[in-house]
Amino acid sequence: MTVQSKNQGGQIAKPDGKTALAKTTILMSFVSALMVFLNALSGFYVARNLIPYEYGRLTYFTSLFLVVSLVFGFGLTVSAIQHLSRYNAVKNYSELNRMFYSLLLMRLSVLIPLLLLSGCLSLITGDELYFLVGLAASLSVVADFLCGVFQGLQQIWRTALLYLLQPIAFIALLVAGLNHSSKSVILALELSFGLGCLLGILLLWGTGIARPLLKFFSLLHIKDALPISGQSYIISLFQTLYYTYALVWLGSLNQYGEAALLNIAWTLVRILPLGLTPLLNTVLFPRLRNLVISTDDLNDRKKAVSNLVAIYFKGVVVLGISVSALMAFFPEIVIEFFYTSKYLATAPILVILAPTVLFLGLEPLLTVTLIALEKTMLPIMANLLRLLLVGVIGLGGYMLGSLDLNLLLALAYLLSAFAGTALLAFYYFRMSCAFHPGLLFGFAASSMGIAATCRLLLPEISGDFIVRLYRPAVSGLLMVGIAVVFLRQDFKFNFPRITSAKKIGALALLGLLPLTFIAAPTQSTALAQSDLNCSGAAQSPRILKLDCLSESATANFLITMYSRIDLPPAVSWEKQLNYEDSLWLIRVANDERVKLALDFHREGKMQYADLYDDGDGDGNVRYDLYAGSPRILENQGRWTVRVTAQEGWWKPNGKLNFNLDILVDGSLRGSYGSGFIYDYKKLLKNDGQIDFEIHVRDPNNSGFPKYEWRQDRSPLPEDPSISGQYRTEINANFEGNEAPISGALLWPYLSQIAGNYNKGYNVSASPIQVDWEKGKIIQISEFVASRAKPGNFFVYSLNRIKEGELNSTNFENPFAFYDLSGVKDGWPDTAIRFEAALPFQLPGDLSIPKPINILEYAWGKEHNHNLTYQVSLCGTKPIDQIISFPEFSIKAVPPQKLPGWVTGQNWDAATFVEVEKQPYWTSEIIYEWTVEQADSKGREKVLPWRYITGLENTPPADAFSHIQAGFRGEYSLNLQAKPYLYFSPVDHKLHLLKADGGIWNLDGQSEISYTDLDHDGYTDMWRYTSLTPIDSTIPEIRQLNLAGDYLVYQDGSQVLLRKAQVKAFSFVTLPPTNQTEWENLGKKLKEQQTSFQPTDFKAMLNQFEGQDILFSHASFSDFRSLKNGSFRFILELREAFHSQDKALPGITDLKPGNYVVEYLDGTLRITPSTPPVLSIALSTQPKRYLEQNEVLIAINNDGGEDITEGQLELWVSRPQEELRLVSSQTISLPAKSKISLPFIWTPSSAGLWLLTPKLNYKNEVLLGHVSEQITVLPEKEASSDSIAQILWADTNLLFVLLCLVAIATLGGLVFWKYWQTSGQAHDAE
Amino acid sequence: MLNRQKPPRSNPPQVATNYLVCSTLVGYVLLLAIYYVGRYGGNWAELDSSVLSKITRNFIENRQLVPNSGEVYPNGYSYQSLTTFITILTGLAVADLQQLVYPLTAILAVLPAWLLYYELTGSLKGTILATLLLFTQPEFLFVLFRSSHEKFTRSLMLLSLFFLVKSFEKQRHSGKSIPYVILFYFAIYTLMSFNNLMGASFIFALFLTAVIAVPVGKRGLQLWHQALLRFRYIVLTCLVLAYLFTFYIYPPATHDLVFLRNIWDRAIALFLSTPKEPDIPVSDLIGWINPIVYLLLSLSTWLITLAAFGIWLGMGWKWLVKQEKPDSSVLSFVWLLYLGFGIQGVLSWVADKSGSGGHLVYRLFPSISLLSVALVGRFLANWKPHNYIRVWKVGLAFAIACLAFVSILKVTNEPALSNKWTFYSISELAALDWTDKTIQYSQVWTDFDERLSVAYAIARGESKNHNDFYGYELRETITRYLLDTSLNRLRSKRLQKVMPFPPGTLLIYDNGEAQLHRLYPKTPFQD
Repeated sequence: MTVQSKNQGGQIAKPDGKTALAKTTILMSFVSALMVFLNALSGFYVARNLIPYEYGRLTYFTSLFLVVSLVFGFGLTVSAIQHLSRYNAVKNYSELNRMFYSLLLMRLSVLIPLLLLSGCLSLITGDELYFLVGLAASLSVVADFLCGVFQGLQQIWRTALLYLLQPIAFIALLVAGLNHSSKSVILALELSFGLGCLLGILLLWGTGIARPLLKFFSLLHIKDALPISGQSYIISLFQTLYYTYALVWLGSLNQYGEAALLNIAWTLVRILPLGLTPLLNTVLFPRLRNLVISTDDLNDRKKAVSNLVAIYFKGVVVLGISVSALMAFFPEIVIEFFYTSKYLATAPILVILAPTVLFLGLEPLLTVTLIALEKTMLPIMANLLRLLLVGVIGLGGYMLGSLDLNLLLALAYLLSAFAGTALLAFYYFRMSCAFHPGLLFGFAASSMGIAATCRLLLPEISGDFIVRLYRPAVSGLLMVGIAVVFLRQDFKFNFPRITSAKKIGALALLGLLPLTFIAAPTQSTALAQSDLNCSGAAQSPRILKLDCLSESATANFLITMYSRIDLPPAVSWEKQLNYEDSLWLIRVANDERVKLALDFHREGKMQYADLYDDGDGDGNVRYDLYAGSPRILENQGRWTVRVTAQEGWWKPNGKLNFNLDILVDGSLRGSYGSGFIYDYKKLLKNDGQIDFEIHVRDPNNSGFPKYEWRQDRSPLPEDPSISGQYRTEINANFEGNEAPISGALLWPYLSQIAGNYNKGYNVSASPIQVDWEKGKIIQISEFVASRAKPGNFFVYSLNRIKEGELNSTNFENPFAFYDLSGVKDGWPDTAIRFEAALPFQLPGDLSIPKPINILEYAWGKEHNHNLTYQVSLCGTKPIDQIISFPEFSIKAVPPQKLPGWVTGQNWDAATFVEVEKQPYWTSEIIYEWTVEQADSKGREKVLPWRYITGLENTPPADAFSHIQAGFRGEYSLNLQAKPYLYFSPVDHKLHLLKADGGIWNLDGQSEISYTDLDHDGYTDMWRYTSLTPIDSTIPEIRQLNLAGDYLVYQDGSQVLLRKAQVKAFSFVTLPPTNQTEWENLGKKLKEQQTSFQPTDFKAMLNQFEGQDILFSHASFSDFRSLKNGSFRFILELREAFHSQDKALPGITDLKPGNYVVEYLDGTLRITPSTPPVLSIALSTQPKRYLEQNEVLIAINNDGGEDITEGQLELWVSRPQEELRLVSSQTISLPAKSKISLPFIWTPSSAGLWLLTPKLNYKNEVLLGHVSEQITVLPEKEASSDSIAQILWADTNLLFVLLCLVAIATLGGLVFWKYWQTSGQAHDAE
Repeated sequence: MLNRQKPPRSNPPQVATNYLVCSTLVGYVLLLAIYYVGRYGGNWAELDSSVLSKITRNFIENRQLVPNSGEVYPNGYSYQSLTTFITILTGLAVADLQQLVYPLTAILAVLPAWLLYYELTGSLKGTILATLLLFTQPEFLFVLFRSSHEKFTRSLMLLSLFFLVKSFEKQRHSGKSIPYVILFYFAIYTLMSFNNLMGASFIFALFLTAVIAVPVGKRGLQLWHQALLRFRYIVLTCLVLAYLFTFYIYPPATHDLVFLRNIWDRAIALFLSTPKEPDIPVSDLIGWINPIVYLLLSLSTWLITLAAFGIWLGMGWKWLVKQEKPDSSVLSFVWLLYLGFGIQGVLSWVADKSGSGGHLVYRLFPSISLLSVALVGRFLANWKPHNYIRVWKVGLAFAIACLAFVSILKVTNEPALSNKWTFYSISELAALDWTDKTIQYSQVWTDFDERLSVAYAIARGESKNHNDFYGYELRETITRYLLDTSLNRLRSKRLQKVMPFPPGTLLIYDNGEAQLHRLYPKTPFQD
């Protein structure tokens, strides 16, 4: 509701009796507090849900709403309260009705011009919000009027209900969804007030207001009623204008972003004053009025009033200063808490405004006091003064253009708040005949004066500096102020009386109000990529205007160049372009806003280009004209990007200069890592602190950049163990053959379009890229390609490099690209990624004193821009190579040596992957199946970080149990060799030598697994598994084994043994390191290419001729490779089996069943199989309590069949107790073999125990009946016999006893001697 | 204005008595300290003392207030500065100073306590009894004996309270009160310089006292009105001092604050918490062989605390409800201070419950004890039993003797009663010395808690070969060395905890009392 309605809370409670007053006070206090809370809540909610620009727009329109509703309110609510209350008290219902309807008619009649005015504005500007605001204002004044009516009728509960309905309905509508735009919020506001009106009308029922009759209307009543409310009306009007002036002004200038920021800070500092207002109006005001109208002695009354106000004064001062300090010290936290981090840019404004809390808090106190004392003119003076001050300072400062507008307005508000409150206080103190809080204003005047002077004298300094300087200064002074307040010294003032206030107020209104109706949003035009086609001409000796149209005619750049020297006359515009000493303003068509400003200037040999972009979200780079030349005001005149070149942008040889040093201070992507490691849009600000340093070098002045390095200086912790950004990034192309720059907007480094950060293949977009719609530089992309160029490499280091030093860099160090094919089409076919972790730099408890190197080496089988193979390696050898740049050097293997260095080393572990499903393109490497694979627990890099570092005992084989469809991968968890590959003549594939296993996921449904059964380094078992679509629980299985002189094949229907001589490999190779090796490998692979399907194991078998032994309706299992080419498996012959005659001795006598087939010493034998026959033994040595004991379980398998994946368990029990499982292990126990396994057991007590091993295999317990009884001894004694002996060993027992006795005795004696048992309580010693 | 029971300026025989009694109390505390050191032959260690030992060594090495490298104490500089000065002056090693000499300096707290209680209780008897009771408080004794900043900060608290009260007493003679005011600020700054968090916590308690003085004071307390007005800006000045010290004078002091995300956390950290004191005996129920022993050993604390609270309530009832006049302004002030510290205690309890702090209440216990004993001491001094006077006298003297007895048992973590052992043997230290000389960059499990790691830290400092001697749970993935000692075996027995040695380790060192085991490699990548 409006201010004047709240001010009446005390007046309706004019005391008929203490009880009524108390009840009313309590109720209205509650209602007012709740209203303040709800209004604040809805404000926060809206701000959080809208984008800043939209919120700024809403701010503008709601400010208009406030002004309009107040202007057209005419203070009728106050009149209604007072007159209806009067008639109600004397029970004169006839006059009461007459007054009500007279006022109501008056109320409704003045709304008509308001609606007309707002409708016209909407038609003129095309913005319907003006009308909606007018309508909402109309409804609000009606609702407010009805509230006043109920107050006048002493209908307290109805008043409360009506007051609360609107904010509750508003919040409900917001939450229901009307919060997506400023329009929807205003609609919600409108609806809520509409509901309020409706409820108000309904509540009139039963209040004594008769049916509306025209005879009730009386002009005389209106004439009587209006003057009463006049003064309150003026006070409220000035207050509202004061509060909303700057926001309306900013909005009318279309600076919605600035309006949003100012409103956030302004709202925050007004929370406390708003919260206090209900208290003051409903509690203080009635008490003051009681005192004023009482019949006591004047001096007594004066004293009582002074005392009462003094109590509130001190309370408000303490609260105000506390909140001021909170906001001055923790602006970011306060803003983030209430409004989320998207408004953090308002922090400097909040810091300046923070002391305002104190003054704005005091203002309602003093105003209420003075009104109660019937000195209404004084608040009018104070509010007028404040309005004038904020207007003059704001407008004056803006005209001078020396300050950021928001900061300027904040300062204006601060000073005006102080001045207005000080004026009020002076008057009050004067009236109350010297009053100690007056001294506060002495201190406040000086503190504010100092703070303001600091700010005004240093207009060009950054927001951060203000925060640093201002915060301690102001808060320190405030602290001093607190002390001063409590000194209680009297203070007297003589302040001249101001007259003609009404005239001044009217003049101010006339001057300020028109500013609010001149705004209309503008439209922006998106830009498309285009080449430039410019036309232009000089407008004056120093101004050149260009209109550049892209060939596709989708975008226009309107460039105005203000040269600081006279342009050469009578030449073309191209020759008039001044890149050395001029300021360019760049706009885009259909948008008057300046999107980018470029200031070229020179100091000696150094040529500078300062780029200014939009800083407040309004899509405009603010500037003014000073002496005919533009002066940038945006971001307080700070550049966002500064490009420095020695000797100009072009070298004397005419080639583009790529020896550049670039500084970035602002929210843009200045490095690769900043694009995803942290949110640069939130973190980085234009604040005078450098966020990126970019250095580009072309040592030979070839016109092409050869290397660049970027220092990420974002405000994140510098310690790499805390924050993981790449502190330094290096891109290098030592061949210097980057593609020429294209797409420039006249100045070669400025791009017409916003593209990708990373350079593409064979193109070099201009690197400084701008979002032309928003007027924002969004990134400085690569000068030197990181990835898209063979011969290039990059380093992304977590450690920062220091110029002039040899640096230990880490993470990607380096990542290099090669064209081994020599095609030279600008695309690489080989990539090597080296990831280095330095000693003690692994995270957390993984820290170890060794370096960990991870490497991916990927190449394409053909030069078709797709990668085919990749070897991934890890090891712990330190790097002893250096890459040198003129400015610094780093410990890393130079890219030209890297392939040879990789293939010449032994590595601890490796993986190999082939992309079977082409095409597969990435800008880096093959991301699948590297040594960095996570295990089943989701732990990344478990192999290099945990296993090869020795931190974990279990090989992380589960990390390599699955591969993506279309990939074939193999792994070796203990390679200890160079990364050799071999070509298998069986499947015609490249394989990793010494692989532990492998897998080929064919299509997600079927796969081929690879196993090296005899551990000779070569795959000798291929197994195909496919889930059939009909019954996915029964897999289709094919298997091919190569062992000794045989190939053994099965496919579910037959088993075939073929005696053939098959070599394990066709050739062995390392990954190609140069063109010759790459070509040779490609040639060999091409020669060995075959046409059979990878799943056609029969075809693989049929490549080799030999004698066959065939069993139909048979299958085999448990294939084992033995020494010297021997092997063994279990052959299962089903009922209808058939076999070749005499292929094996005794083969004709076979019957269905299981047989052991063994190939030993060149002879193939078949014998009936027997099931596993197990025997077990346990170690029976005594165990010890409170220790981890080892229990060895030895098992023999004397049967003919193997046990694979059985569960061996150890169970224990005390005599007569139930068995308890200790642990279990998965075991494989081949036939005719034995194993011995240790179990760790910690007995829970000493004594006799039974140990029972169990072996579960194929859902049967094969062991479990064998138990051993053992003795668990008590805990191991220490070398000393008992605890006492140890505890008393180092000290003398006598010493201990004597000391303890002495201490106790001394303590007791002191008490004994000095405890008073009689005599005086306070002895007179 | 008040405190009518001011002692006479000169009374030679009485002064002699005072000296004698005061000396007796000094002797009593000295005896406690000697026992504290002598109980383990100087071979004692605890976490805070070891941390400050390491920090001091680094301080000595770098010779900088904020050393460029190594560990920097974030909360203040005075302790390490003072220790450095003493070591250089005397030639004592840091370990000797920390373990043998510093516990004896607990006697330094007697005089400030004496002075303060003389003012607070208003009588010599009250002073003697309050001081005596203070040194039967195990929580207070523990922080006083161990070698951390607290032996100084607690004394400084006593001293600053003394200066404050004296300045109030002299309020009518500004010339006389000014020196006390200045001394008070000196004491507060010195307190901050030893530990800013403890200083801020103390100031916050004063702040709370100043805040409640206004409403409560008007209800019937007899306070120095002018002085209490001044008290508000004294507190504000102290807050400014705390702010200046934390943010400007000693920049590392902001370390703990900058990483705290919100205002609530910062406020808790600054005003409610004191430095971490993980081993305060009162906080650890399971640290004793059984709950009854714990209760017995804590008897002194509970008795004094409950008695003080009862006395405080009684005073409040008399003054605020029955509107009786307090005996003196000092007494009113003590009552207020107790309330201020009590509110801080309640806030700490709330913070503890909300999970914002860590045992904040226990950390405040020694501070509250300072006032509890004043209330109880004064009460006892004035109490006149009507019957059985002799019996009361004997009984109370015996009770005090018992309290003194159990307090020192608790303070020393008497191993016969405590499961938290704070001593070590020379053999264990020798084993650690050999380990650090022989291996490098390794994790070494030493004990079921930090006993041996802090022992090494206090006796030797940082590992020279970058080894990490640690306790508690075994870090299975990265530990290759384990220390087995006789004391560890005994602790295993006492705690019923299994020694974390897997079977089949390689014994690589044995001195009879301590053995170092090495785990066999289980993969090709373990050496």
